[in-house]
Amino acid sequence: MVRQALLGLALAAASLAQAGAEGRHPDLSGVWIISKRSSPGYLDVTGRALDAAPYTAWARDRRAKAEPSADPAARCLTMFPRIMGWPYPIQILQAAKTTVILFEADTTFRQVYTDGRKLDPGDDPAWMGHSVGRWDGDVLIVDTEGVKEDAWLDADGAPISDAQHITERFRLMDGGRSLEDVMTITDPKVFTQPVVKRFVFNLKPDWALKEYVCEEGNRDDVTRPRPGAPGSLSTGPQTSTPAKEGS
Amino acid sequence: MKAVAVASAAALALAASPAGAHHSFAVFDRSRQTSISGTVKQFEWTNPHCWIQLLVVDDKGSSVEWSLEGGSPNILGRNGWKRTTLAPGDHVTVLIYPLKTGEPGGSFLEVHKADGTVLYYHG
Repeated sequence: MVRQALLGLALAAASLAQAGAEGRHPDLSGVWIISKRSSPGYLDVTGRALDAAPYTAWARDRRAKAEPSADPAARCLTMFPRIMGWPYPIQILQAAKTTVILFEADTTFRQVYTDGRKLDPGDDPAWMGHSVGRWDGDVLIVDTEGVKEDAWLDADGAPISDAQHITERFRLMDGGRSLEDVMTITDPKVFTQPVVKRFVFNLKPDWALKEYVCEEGNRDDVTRPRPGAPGSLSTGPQTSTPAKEGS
Repeated sequence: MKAVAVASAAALALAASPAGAHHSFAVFDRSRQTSISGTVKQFEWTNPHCWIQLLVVDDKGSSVEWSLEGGSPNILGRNGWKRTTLAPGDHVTVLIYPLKTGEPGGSFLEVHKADGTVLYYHG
């Protein structure tokens, strides 16, 4: 009887170990909306809030000279990592070999490959970058490179360079009702030290993503003005510096 | 006092703000809220921003058209707005952050309708 119980325990333990080996990880799938608990600014790698972003002289200069109308987003161009903090829901679809993040904002997506391939953006930079992921216990670690250098890191024109490397650690919190994404941005041409942003998302089981087509009624593309009433960026002095990919 | 206003504006700029998605909020004077009353000429229910075109009578008795920007239909819709929430001819009072340039435009925060209904953008 005792032997049977022990055998049962051993089989259960073996089964659990096998489940882990098969990749039965926490399921991040669901519709999520950014929470006010997200960090408003940059943190250092220990999680302490930085008084000011540690920009290099080059990045500070680029940011100081940036006009709001030159923002790629004002021309409906969407970009990572900025989109992670936007006020539109995301939907995560987690499968064995890939995890897809759908963004309502601009009806776009990120694809995170978890099939063991190496991160290789090659010579194909993308607005959302190229991402691979791997599990470390209950944490999905996602590495991203290859974000286009035309992208802005924020709405005030902070640049991103070809020296970028972005690591995110996704994990469920609060019994699965919250999702945390701790993002470390390393880009020595832009920052004098790695910087961290902490995004927190709330689960929205009763929400569905909607369509969002920015080009529909955009008044802010000063390179392609619309007839009719002005947009907020089309008044006052402007500069227009369309990105190569902008047209 | 001015320094305080600048600091709070900077904090808002860093936070995930509704208007932060599509473009910078820097064009608006967030140290100052203004209420303007007028008649709706057009309510544009469109991405990336909804717009209220509001006819406002100025000090000289002239009608001036203001362009007031809010959230997208997706965001306003989740705050209870509909495509039919505002119609041409409606008399409304709108709380805004005005444009820094002084031109007749801004970002709307609240819309007070004549029947007492209040609609919000920034939650």
